[in-house]
Amino acid sequence: MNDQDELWTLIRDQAPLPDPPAWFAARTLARLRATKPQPLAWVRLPRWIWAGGVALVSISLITTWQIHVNHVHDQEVTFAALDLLSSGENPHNQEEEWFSSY
Amino acid sequence: MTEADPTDFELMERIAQGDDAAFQMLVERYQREVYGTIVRMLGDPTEAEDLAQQVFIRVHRAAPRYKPSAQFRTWLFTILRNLVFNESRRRSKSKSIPLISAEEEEGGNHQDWADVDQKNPSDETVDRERMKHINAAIAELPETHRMAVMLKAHQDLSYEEIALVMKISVSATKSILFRARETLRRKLIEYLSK
Repeated sequence: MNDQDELWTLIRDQAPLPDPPAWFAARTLARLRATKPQPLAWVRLPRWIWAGGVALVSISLITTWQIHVNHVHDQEVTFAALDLLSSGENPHNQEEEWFSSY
Repeated sequence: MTEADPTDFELMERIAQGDDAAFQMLVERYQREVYGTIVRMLGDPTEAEDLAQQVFIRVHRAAPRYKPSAQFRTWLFTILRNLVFNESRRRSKSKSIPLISAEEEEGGNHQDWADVDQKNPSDETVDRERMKHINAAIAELPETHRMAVMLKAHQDLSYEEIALVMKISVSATKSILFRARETLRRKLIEYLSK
């Protein structure tokens, strides 16, 4: 046996590695299970969070629809004004006729 | 390991499929090597237990991606090395001064690394004093030297495998082991034949 082997053998045989505690494997498995992500964890959120989320989504949908409706209305008015101008008619006469009909 | 025992690769395949029994088998197979190495590196059995658990949990997380390109033991000790060195860096940054225990105040001996094995009186052929002396000599080595010695002496890894684990070149590994060996030979000369 050469010098190197003798030293490593001395260390391995005369100073062996200490054993882990008897419960080490079981504790490691328990720790692993505790750190595993829970499936469908989002389903277990409190009800108030669900209600708040639904409310926010509803409000944003309604707001988006109203913006869309207003945008269409604005476009219609703009188109009507341009149409009137391009037709050459006097818009004030039309207004007087409309008011006089009431 | 008998012929009927699954190989490390087979266990890793089963772990990747969610087999907890396979994971427990793997832990039991390597727990002494992992825990024991960390104790020798850090000197604290409680921290060693925590870190050793982290090693195995990382192994479990990596199981779906594990490819047997190298020996499983080499890969396992690469994870161990990363965690141990991270912990050492964290300790050196915090540089906390330990509180003096009542025992120390009374002049008693505080537990050092060599005393860790007092809870393992199983092997009567092991001379307690000799073991203490050897462990103390290893504990005084620089961290990289200590890790290389642990991998060589207790795991019997080759220079190439040690280089892989420690992320250094083979020539650097040989140089580290040479210097560590010279230091240990001087300190342990009474236990060596020459």
